[in-house]
Amino acid sequence: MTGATVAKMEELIERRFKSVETKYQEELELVNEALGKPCIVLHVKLPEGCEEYRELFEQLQDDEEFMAELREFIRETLRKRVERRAPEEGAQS
Amino acid sequence: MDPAKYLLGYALVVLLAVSEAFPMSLSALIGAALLVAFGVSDGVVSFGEALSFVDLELLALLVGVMIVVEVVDRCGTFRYLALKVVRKALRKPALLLVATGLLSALTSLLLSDEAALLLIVAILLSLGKAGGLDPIPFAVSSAIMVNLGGTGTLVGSVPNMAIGIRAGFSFPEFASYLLPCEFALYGVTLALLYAYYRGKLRPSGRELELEEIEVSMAGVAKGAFLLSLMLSLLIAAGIADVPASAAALASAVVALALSGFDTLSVFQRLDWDTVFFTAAFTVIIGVLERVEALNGLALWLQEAAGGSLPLASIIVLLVSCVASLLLPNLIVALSFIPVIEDLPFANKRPLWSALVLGANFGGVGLPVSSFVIVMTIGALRREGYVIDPWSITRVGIPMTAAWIAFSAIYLLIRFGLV
Repeated sequence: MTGATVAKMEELIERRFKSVETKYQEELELVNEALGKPCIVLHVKLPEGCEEYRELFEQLQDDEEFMAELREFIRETLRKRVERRAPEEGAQS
Repeated sequence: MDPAKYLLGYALVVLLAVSEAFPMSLSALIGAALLVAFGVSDGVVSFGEALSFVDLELLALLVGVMIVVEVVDRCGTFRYLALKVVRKALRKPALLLVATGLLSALTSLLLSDEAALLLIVAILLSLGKAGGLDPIPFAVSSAIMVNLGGTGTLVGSVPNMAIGIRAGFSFPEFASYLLPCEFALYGVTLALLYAYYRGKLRPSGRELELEEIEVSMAGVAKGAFLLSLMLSLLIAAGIADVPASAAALASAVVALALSGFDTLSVFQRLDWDTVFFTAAFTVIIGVLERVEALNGLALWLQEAAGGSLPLASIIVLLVSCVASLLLPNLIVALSFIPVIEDLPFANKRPLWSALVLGANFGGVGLPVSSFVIVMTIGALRREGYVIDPWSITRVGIPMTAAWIAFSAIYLLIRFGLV
């Protein structure tokens, strides 16, 4: 096979893959998000005084904005706990 | 009236589609415009008649299935199942080859080949990045299995829909002819792939763990429900003698209403190139049928078979497979449909089944004959793996030959032709 044929085939492969590259990257992100991350399962009861918001409360588990806020809250909590633990460990040693 | 200029117009469309000078839909629209103009000027067809060549039932089935598949894909049902299965099989490479192969084939039986392959390849390449395995044998095997998957159902691929509708096959009838062959071929293919890649299926030295899978279980359940609903409606429609397109459209409406996804964003993700290509190409075939331009092929096939149905079935299987090695399989399927209709056999079921098998099987023989192979090579290269496209041919050609040999025997036995 000539070099020109190989080059044409390579160009075809590249062009065709480009047409699905965005979808591939999206799928890769979704898989990476689902894969290999530790996960904890929490059962959160409807807080007292919020009985009338039951429906809204139940929708939170599928609410992307809420999940993003929750992840930020967890990030902040972990950071504070690490900071708090560092002086305690220093004092013990 | 000379059919030669019509055949030249057809050849131009095929050339434009294969060269990818334009999107497939535009190539077919150019060809349809040209052939309709010839037909109108020769007084063999009116514009209104040409419009009636568009197969609305096929388009309704295609769009209905596309909508359900897009919604189910977004629900993450297949992603969840695939990750669960991969997690179980991760430590045993041979088992992982079988598991990802079966996942690929079964996923493409219901989702589009593209969606199925992107999912499996993304999982394999994520594992490859994490240091768990060499993804090349698994990814190539998955591409081959994706190509095989979807052969056995009416909604498994667009060529299947086109052939099934013109043959008058209901969803259950189509599956009863072709699904046993597909399932048997899973075993044959996986055994051959294992034999070929046995020495390369090594786990890496690094331990790889998959922790909990983070997906919305409500979404997973919703996707599973919608898919079950579509399959149930397709089966019920077949039993009640209602067109499969009605079942697909009903499922699509329910999917859109229940999913909660933005309807317009679902529509934007549909493969409109294939929809418009199918519509325009059915017009081209309609005009060619009107001027009897495809009669020559039917006559040749008839003479070659010498009036023997078993031989005609084998010829259809072989010719359509070789043609789909070089051309998009939808072109092959749509072009062969009128040829089969012209053949003077009372029982055309073996011929239709042979066309389904042949048109689906040509996809892995050459590196550029299949979109799934190109996608696999492209994705592997994006992640830094070196893969020679011809290494796939070394697997693909013998595999295609094995499929054809097995299918020929299956057709002869299944339809009592021996």
